[in-house]
Parts: sequence; C-alpha cells; structure tokens
Amino acid sequence: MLLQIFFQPGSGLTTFPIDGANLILLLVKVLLLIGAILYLVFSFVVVRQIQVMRNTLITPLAGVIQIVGIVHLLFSIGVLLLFLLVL
Amino acid sequence: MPDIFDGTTTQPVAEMNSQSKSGGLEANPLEATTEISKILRPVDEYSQVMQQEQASDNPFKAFLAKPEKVFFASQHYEEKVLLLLRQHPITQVKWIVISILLCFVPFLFQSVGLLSFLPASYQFASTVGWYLVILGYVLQSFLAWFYNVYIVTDERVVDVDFYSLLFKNISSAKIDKIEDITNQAGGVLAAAFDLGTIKVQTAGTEAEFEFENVPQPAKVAAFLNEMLVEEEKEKMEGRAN
Repeated sequence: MLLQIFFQPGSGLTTFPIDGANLILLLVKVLLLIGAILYLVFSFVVVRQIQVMRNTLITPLAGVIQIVGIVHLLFSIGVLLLFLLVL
Repeated sequence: MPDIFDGTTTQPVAEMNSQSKSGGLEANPLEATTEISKILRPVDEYSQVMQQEQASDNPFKAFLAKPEKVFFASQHYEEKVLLLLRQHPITQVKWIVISILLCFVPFLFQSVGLLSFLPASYQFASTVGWYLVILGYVLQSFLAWFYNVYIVTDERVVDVDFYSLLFKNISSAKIDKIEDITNQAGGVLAAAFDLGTIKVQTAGTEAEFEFENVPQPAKVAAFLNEMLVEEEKEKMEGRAN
C-alpha cells in the first residue's frame, strides 16, 4: 500500500534493470519530501527570525528583508508542492 | 514593544527643561538654556572623527557614521546612534564564493552522470532542491552579517549578536564604564582592507566587548576615546545624563 502511495506504476521503472529499483526510487522520493518539509519549517523560522531581527535593529531596509523572507517561504512551499506533483 | 516607543523609560528633553526651570534655575534662565544646549551638543562639536564623516542612510555600509533612520530596540528617547558597525564586507567573501561554487555542483553531477540512474523528474527535483538550499544558505549568511551590529550611541556601546537563527545576545555598556580600548589588527586582509578588531574592556563584572573585523578600526578606537573624554567632561561640568 505504501509503495502504491509513493510510487506510481510505470514512472521510471523501465530505466531500472535491477529489482531493487523501486525501493531506491521510493527512498529518494521519501528523502526529498522529508527534506522539503524540513526546509519549509526552516523557512518559517527564517521569517520569524527576520521579524525579531527587524524589531531589534530598525533600518529602512527592514521591509525589503521581510519581503525577501516571505518570498523565500513561498518558494519553499512551491518546491514542496512541486515535489508532490513531480515525484 | 521596544523601549524606543516607550516614552516613560526616559525623560524627554522638554520635560527636563521645565523641571530645571522649576528646580532652582529660575534665578538664572540663561544657565538653564545653556544646560539644555550642552545636553544636546552635536557630536561634530567634540569629535574630530565625526567631523570628517558624512551622515548616511545607506543601510549596507559596514561603517555607518551618523546613520539616518536607524534605531535599535532598547534605544532611549533622547539617545542618538552615532556609529553603526558591521564586519567588513571582505570577511563575507567566503560564503559568497562558496555559494557561487555550490551553484555549479548540479552541472558537475550531470557531466559525471552521478544522478543518471534516476528518472529525469527526480533529477529535476534534486536540482531544484539543491538551489533552494543554496538560497537558504545565502539568506541566512546575509542576515547574520546584516544584523550582527555594533552600535555606539552618545550614551553607550551596544553589541547585537545573532549566533544562529535561534539565539541572540544584546549587551550594552555605558560609555563612562569603559576602561580600556584595544585596537587589534593583523594579517594580510587586515593590512590590505583596513579592518581589525576593537576590544572594549568595561568596569566591573561586565563582559568585554569585541567589535570583530570592523572597517577602519583606528578611526573607531579614536572615536571611542573622544566619547570617553566627552563623557568625563560632562561629568566634570555636571551635565552627565
């Protein structure tokens, strides 16, 4: 069941001559997804940390840095969605 | 809410003016006016270092004299930021070079065929993930440089440290608590780009302040010495705040 959820039949199977190919692909997929989820958490922390930083040191650039942090967070969300779609 | 917005923590100058007038100085209004003007004495009047520096609003500068529109969390109402320091930009070249080199890693993998056993979609996902990690590394390194600052105000020195994304340390010491200022510079980079470390020893149990790899360390040390002299003068003249 787990294999069916993570691995759609036919995708890339033909490129693997060995029997353990499915397992390797599944492993790579799980690792990439876990990485993307952890990165998403990291992006949230970055956004929160930018808020703390901009409250500590108030500069004219604070707004721009906040936007960069949010864009970075959106990127990481996008990458997670991309991984879910592509893999 | 940061203290900067809290007017109750310090005494506004206008309030001080009225108090001094009612506190026995009414016999000599000129004295009261002179006292206020002394408190608000511009830094250019007592600092030769600052006389040579132009006020700037460029937030990227590592040596930002008389910064405009720059404040910090525990700043008092009448406290003015006179100097803001960061590590010299040349010290940041390391992570910039690393980031640029890391950008080429996927091409290297492709040329060697290290990921060729994976389907194209997996290779694409790995590459996208790789560049996202580089983006995160660049962002974190920039934030660490931009927000790790050393601030000199007309009252104190402040060291703002963000050790990582999760830990921060803000320490400050009043100018009159400074006992010793050491300017350390050594190495090729320091000689070539005029950078060094300023160590500020304070009285009592307070920790030593280290302004690491700041630009123009001689100028910074000279300015701190001028601030010390000014603080002593203020004490002698009875206008210390």
